[in-house]
Amino acid sequence: MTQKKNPAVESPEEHSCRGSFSTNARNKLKLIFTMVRRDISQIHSHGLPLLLLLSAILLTIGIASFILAKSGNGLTRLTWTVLITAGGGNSPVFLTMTLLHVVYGYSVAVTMILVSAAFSLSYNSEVKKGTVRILTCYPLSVFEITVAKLMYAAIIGFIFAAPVFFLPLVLGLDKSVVDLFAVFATAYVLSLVIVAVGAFVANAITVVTKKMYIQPPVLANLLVVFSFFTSSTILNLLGQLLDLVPVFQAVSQLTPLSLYHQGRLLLSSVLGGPEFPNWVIFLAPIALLVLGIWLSFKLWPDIYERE
Amino acid sequence: MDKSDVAIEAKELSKDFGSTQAVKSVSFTVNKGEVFGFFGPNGAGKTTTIRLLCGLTKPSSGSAIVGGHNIMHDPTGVRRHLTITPEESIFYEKMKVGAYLKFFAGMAGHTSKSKQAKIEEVVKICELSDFMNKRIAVLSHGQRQKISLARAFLSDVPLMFFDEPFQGIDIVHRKLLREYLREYVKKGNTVFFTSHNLIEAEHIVDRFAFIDRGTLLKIGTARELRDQYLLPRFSIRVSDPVKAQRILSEGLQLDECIVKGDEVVVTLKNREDVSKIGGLLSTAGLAVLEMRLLGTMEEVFLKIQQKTGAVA
Repeated sequence: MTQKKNPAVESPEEHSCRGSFSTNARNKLKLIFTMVRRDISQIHSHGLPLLLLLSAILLTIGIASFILAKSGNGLTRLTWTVLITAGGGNSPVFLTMTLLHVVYGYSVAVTMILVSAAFSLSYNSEVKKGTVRILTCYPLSVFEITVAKLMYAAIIGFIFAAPVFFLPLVLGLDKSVVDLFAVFATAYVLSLVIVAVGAFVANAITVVTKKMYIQPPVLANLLVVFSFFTSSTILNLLGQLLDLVPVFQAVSQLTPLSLYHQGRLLLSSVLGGPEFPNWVIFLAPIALLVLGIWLSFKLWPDIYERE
Repeated sequence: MDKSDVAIEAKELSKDFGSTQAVKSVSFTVNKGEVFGFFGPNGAGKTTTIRLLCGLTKPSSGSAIVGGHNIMHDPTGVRRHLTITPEESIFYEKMKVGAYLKFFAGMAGHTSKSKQAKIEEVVKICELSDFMNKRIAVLSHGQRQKISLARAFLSDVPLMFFDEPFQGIDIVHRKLLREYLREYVKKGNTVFFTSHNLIEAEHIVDRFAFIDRGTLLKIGTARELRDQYLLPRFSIRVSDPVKAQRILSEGLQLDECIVKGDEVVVTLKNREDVSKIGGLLSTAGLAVLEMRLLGTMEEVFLKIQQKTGAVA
């Protein structure tokens, strides 16, 4: 007679295997945190002046945008009309936007620039200088190194982008802190997710092609730019500004694929607006992330040698 | 040999880079508690072999067990049990030496408590105390090499891989480092060592492996390899070297016998004649002041190359 196994009771082998797995995971996390701490303490060698310059420019643009937006008093419902004069002396074009477009659009612009810049600067300085090869002398795979760089980008991106959250409060935009935080958090999380998807999909491509044809920061930046410029607000704005509405309308077929666009729709629904996101689109980055992470484990550290 | 005594077991390990075969079906074992030297000319496959054994490069075929881990199944796990000093060490140039060592002490798994003591230990071994507050960028090649070694010594692991470890390090310090490695292997740990400098390696290596163009040519101790590939050659300092030359030439079968200053350098044809040298000279009334065995591992390597036809 076969003895039925009690699923609640672990065999010694299972226990030791689980213990060893959790010890390994803990040790790897320790190494990741050690790398992130070093990167933060050495931020001056990861393009700090560039990050400061970008922040200063973005903050200036933000202050100007929010001062203009102050005239509005509803985050989603109130229509805020911007007069934009198209080039070439044509008649003025009117664009209709809610305050959400402004605050969210600005949050997206800031987080996407700062998160992807922090990731690119940190990753490139490690890989181009070759110091990553010393890191691979330790029990780290390409996955952990990518995670460490993403964590650094998440922390630095957050620190540099945080004024975006405080700006509307400081400038007296008269909106709920929770609502403004939701807008900022959505933009920040989506920027981080897109950069992570880009990084891991680049790793996945390397596994398949056996050569790093596209580096993680490059694909991350491409995805961020794609997601930003295919959002309906940006396409409308550019179409009107450049007087190329039919062209941008054709491109707008891609808009549903833009995570930033879906993020705005999500916020709209949460903040009581009329629009709703297409939830299926959110599954795509998750699927790509899982695939990229899984394939990253198959990479050998010598991809950094063949750079 | 018990499996538990083996630190590294390479089985028909090969690595191709396109049409170039960098390592060709290399098999060998390295025992725990020995310094294993891996030698060969530039481009012989030494560094690639190290990279394969450390799970840094995927083998084209074959496998290896390093520290009980299969490099094919667990390449990252392999590196939990070893430390590597690569030939070309790249540094975080803007970091100060102290901060650099602190960072890598963390990477080596030291807790905040054990970190400081370990750093102090390696700083003492590598004599880095004067440079702790200096940026790595301003240091000389030799000082940077010491930092590279210090980084490796921070890891409490049973296996160390060194690729040309003593390049640029002064003679006095080389001796200290060799002594440290000797102490390290005495504790049952293992050192895998590559170098171009076979003369220096003789001071530290227990077993030699010679590789050329990706092919493993020979493995053995210095004595085994000398006995196999070199005729016994001695430098003998005697009271009358000219007379000694005549006595030895008449009494023994010699390959060569020349006088150099107050010494006679003799190469025997038969190994059995070694024991007869002292007797012949003392019978002739000559005082033997010193007798040294000649023949370096460099000569052994060249002989091996010639015999195996590795040299084109």
